[in-house]
Amino acid sequence: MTRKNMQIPKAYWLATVGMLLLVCGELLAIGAMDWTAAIIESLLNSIETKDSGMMLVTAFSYVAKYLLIFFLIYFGAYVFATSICWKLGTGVFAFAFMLLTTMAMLAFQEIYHEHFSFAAHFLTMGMILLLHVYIPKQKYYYGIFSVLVVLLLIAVQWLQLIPMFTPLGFGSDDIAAAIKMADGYFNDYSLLNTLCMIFFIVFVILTAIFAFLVILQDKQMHTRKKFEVQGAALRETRHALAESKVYEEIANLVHDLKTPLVTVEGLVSLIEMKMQADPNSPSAKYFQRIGQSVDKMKDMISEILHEQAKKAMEVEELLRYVTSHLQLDEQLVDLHVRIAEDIPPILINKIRFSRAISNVLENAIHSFRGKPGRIAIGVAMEGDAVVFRIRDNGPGIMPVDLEAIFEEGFSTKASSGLGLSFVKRVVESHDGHIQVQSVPKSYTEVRIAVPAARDARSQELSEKQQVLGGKS
Amino acid sequence: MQKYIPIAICFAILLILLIVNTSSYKNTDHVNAYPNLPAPIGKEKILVTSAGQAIEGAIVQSIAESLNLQADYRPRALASDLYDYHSVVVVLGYSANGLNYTHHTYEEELNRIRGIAAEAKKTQLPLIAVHLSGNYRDDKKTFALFQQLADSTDYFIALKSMNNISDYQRELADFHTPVTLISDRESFKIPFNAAFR
Repeated sequence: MTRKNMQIPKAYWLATVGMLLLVCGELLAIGAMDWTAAIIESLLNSIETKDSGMMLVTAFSYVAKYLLIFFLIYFGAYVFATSICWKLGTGVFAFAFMLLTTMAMLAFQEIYHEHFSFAAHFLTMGMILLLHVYIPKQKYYYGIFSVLVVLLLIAVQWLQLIPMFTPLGFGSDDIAAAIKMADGYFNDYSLLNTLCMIFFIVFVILTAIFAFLVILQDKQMHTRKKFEVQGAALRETRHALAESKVYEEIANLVHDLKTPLVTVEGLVSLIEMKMQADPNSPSAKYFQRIGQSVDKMKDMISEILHEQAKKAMEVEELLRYVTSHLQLDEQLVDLHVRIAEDIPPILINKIRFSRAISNVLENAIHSFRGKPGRIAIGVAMEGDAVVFRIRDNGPGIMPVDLEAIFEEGFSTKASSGLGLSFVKRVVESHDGHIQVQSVPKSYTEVRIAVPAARDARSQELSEKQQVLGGKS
Repeated sequence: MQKYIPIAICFAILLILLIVNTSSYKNTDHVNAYPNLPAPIGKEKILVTSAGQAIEGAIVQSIAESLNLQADYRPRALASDLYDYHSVVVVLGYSANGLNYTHHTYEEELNRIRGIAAEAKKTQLPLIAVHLSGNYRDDKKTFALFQQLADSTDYFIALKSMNNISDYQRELADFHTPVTLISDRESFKIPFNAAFR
């Protein structure tokens, strides 16, 4: 699933939630008529009894009511704007949010005629946008952001009740004005000026601290992740270093094997010469097989010592080499090789690449489990690549297994599970790629594509011509 | 940097609003007004009612009580209730929540005030209009309520800090109604007391 496909349903869902919150905020005041009536009654009683305590309780009730309403409006507009502008960046989102909240506030004024302060509205809006920029988008983002909006709105509601800020335009709404006038009558504004200012400052500080903690926690998480990545890279490097030391040791060891092998080869030749065996005698065959084994061992040593060494090779020659080493004597396998005409040579490490092809063929042979089977090797040009198609009519591979066959350690025959991962590694080290297609109970086809070495052949030919020209 | 532009716009608008509000929240230029009435115009028992259902009516009632004036606060009083009183004090202030609380519409409130004003004029009952809300309720709806009783008003007491005080004075000028402008709500007691004693 693409990123776009994943986010569209989430965006729709968020847009619906946002719009729902916004509408609830607009209509909540109708449902909260009794709450408003209780606030007014409490205020009238406090004036009648000259009870500052009761007036303060009314102030708390006012803060709670409008906190709920404005939270639904601002947070609803925020969620809605985020969801509709998730592809368009912060700038567009911010303007959408400003437009939505201002329209919502205008609608609120039009419906309820409460004369809410636009100074407070723009202050709230600016602060929410500031938080939006600084609060990192992380897990539980909307939850964390809603807490911040609540703290900010509480601070703004207390600000509305500070009489000394009335000339600035704060707290011009109906109930805030009534509460402030009552305080003016009882206490000459001293109570609300003091208490509301304290609450305002406390909640501003709380909002700032909470935002700071969220940012700090996010930075810590990022640092931890960075350390984890660095730790993993360090472990990998250490592992690679240890591995390279092991390989170095192996290479030294293998190099040292060449000396006794040359001795064995020389001595075997000497014995063969001295015995002068009849070419048809079993001894001659034994000497021939000893010679072949020594040659193979030398090749293997060369493969290990010169892993990166590559040369241009004809496909036919390669396949002849591969099939000659296959043990097909006891198998009921029908092997067909078909090479298209004019196939250019390929630039390969003969031993490694032939081992890779052998591995694929051995897998195919093994899949027959002693029963008769057919293996077809086809080689053709596809674009600039020489493509080997090795197809068998064995039992095939299950789709579940097909996804894992190139993983190291994966095996369906209780082996080391390094076969196909080795093949893949070899093919990729030749700038090629490998694909496997299989239909269970029908066939398996391995497709290996490696770049053709046209340049290599032409270079080789031109080198030969130069040599000949020089001699003449 | 681009992401800060909307935030800057918000705070710029806020700044403009703060400047506009502060500059408009000034004391009114000098106007000719009585510090208080030279002789009382009203008699007890007083009906205190509200025009707009703001809570300021309850504050005026509380002040009346503190001055030992015999007064009843009846925010929903009708013209028919005036027979029992010798003076009427109408406290101006439109409150949407107050009207909802009393289950009145604004139009019903206008009619009620118009009825009280007409009845007071007919029965020559002294009517004192009071506006203690200042800039909190210096709106068109409160002024429209005031217009319903302007021709029946015998005395008008209001806060000096109101931005549109001149509109109220202009409305009363035709009827030569005395006006007292007070600097704060505490100062209301003196002219209010002088209107009855």
